[in-house]
Order: sequence, then C-alpha cells, then structure tokens
Amino acid sequence: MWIATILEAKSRGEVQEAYRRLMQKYWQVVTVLTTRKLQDVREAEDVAQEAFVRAFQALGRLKEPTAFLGWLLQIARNMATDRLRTRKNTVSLDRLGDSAAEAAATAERGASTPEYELELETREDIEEVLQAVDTLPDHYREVITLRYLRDLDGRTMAKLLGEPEGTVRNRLFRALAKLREILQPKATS
Amino acid sequence: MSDLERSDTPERPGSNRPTSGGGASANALTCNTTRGVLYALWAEQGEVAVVEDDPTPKPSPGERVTFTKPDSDVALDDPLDGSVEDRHLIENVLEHIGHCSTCQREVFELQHLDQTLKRGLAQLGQAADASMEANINATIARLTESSFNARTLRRARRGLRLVLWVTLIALSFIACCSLAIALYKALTA
Repeated sequence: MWIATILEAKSRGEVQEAYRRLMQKYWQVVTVLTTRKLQDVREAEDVAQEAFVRAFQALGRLKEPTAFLGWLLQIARNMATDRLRTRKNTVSLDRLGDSAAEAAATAERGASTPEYELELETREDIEEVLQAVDTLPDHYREVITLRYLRDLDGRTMAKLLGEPEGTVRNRLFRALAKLREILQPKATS
Repeated sequence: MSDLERSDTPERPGSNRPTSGGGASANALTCNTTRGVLYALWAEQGEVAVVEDDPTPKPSPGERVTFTKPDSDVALDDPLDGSVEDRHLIENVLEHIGHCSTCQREVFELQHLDQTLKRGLAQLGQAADASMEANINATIARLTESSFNARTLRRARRGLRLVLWVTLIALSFIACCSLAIALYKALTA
C-alpha cells in the first residue's frame, strides 16, 4: 500500500515527504537495534541513515512490499555486522567521552536519597535486562524490540518481517526462554 | 526440587499435551508445562497480571496469583489454537499457578521482566526519537545528493555513449568511402 503511495508521490515530485513519513515510522526500531548491536549511538545513527538510503534506492527490488521492515532490518543488520568487523580493536573516542560524561553525572547526583536509591535500583534492573537482550542472537533481539517498542503482536510482526507467523511466535517464545535463562542465575544469586 | 528448577527449557504446549480435556487434574500439570503455556501466551501478546493491589513484587505463601490473558476471546494459533482442549489447558494452568508457589514466583518474575523490558525499551525509544528529525533530514539530504550524483553520471554516460556511436559511424563511413574510391580507381585504371 505504502509503496504505491511512494510511486504516486514520485510522480507528483513529493517523494521526499513519503520517505520522511516512512522513516518517522521505522527510525526508532532501526536505531535502537543498531545502537544495541554497535554500542555506539553516533555510529548506529550513521548506519541507520545509510540503511534507509540503501533501502530507498533499491526499493524497486523489494519483492514483498509489506515486508519492508524485515528487509530494512536485514540491511541494517548486515551493515552493523560489517562495521563491527572493520572496527576490530579500535575504540571510539565518542564512546569514551559518553562513558566519562555518564560517570561524572552519576557522581554529581551522589546524594543517596531513598528516591535516588530506588531509581538507581530500577536503572540497574533495566540495564541488566537490556544487557541480557544484547546477548541474544539478532533475530531474537529484533522480535523482543518490536514487541516492546512498537507493541506488535505475533501476527503483525510476521507480516512486517515477511516471515511465517509460527516462526515469529516461536522466535518470541525462544527469546523469552533464553532471556530467563540468562537472567536466572543473577536472580538466584 | 521442583520440575521448574530441574529443567532449563520450558516445554512448549503442543503434540504431547499432558492434561487437557475434562477429567484431567491440575495437579498433574508440571511446572515446566505451566511455564511453557505462560511463554506461549506471552508470545501471543499475552500479559502477565497479578490479581493483587499490593505492589510488592514477591508473593507471600498462600497468596492468590493468576495469569490472565486480556483478550481471551481471540483465537490462539499454534501452540495454543483456542480450541476447547486449550481452554481446558489454560484453566488447568491457572489452577496450578494458584497452588504452586514456584509457578507463582515464575509469574512474578515474568511480570517483572515484562515491565523492565517495557521501561527499558521505552527509554531507548525516547533517546532515538530525540535525534530523529535531524537524522531524517540528513538522510533525505544524502538521498537527494546521491540521486543528483546518479542523475549526473547517467547524463554524462549518455553523452559519452552518443559521442562513441557518432565516431564509430563516421569512421565506418570514411572507411566505406575510401574503399569505394579505391575500387573505382582500380576499375577505371
């Protein structure tokens, strides 16, 4: 449906607006996934931008228009993997800067009020769970992210990813089992 | 040691459903199967809810804990296809959870994980949203620039191709003319 909109917009010379709308829809998901994979916000944004550019340029080659998200995520995933491969042992100065700023902010807030303690505990919980999500294979991380970020059910997710519904649901099931498995030892200790 | 503690991977409710149908007892249901049903419902956009006003996350002994699926009328596909058999299975699971403290803890932990994931990914989503507009503009600029480059390259290639064809035709014409003149001279001599 949207691909027809884009073609229509192209003929009217309003394709930029159509691209913008599509990016507004999927930017969050693509950026969150690449950020978690690359652990570097700026690099992740760069990869997300490049993934969108490549996807839009090759739009005519997309066989199943409804599965645009799956296709886009695949492009972003491959690009992020390439970045990781080329990154090797170099450490981004941006990342070091971000970590230092974070540490300074934490030290500044030092006063241990009960609210702060609670907030800290929640933040630690969140960070622990997100780290567990980071250790999941890409496909599992994708379904978990789509579930919580876009609030999608298995059926819609399957349609957007262009995969069978059973596969997606099975992936969700296994992702949750894996997450519990990762978090279980920490919870018991 | 309970079944839940003994096994790492939850059993997916499917071909060997242990206690579905009328006369089956909830007590015969293993914790592992219960966990499998909980995960399958979660994968089906279920929601882990605890019928208690008390916000403390740990169940006290004898506390009533239930697993609810908000839209129970929605037909559940594989592994829970919404059949009468599955409804019995879910009823048995609910009954089992009501009596089994291990499964009650599992429900609480799942609920905690669910909420932590929701909160964590919402934060990541907000962070991605903050820089979305600037990134969208940059991507569109990249797209415009690359399409301009492609257009220029295409135009240049078209011109070059035209020049090559004209040269080829001219050379062929000159060659033909030379041949014709040589032939005429040979015949008239």
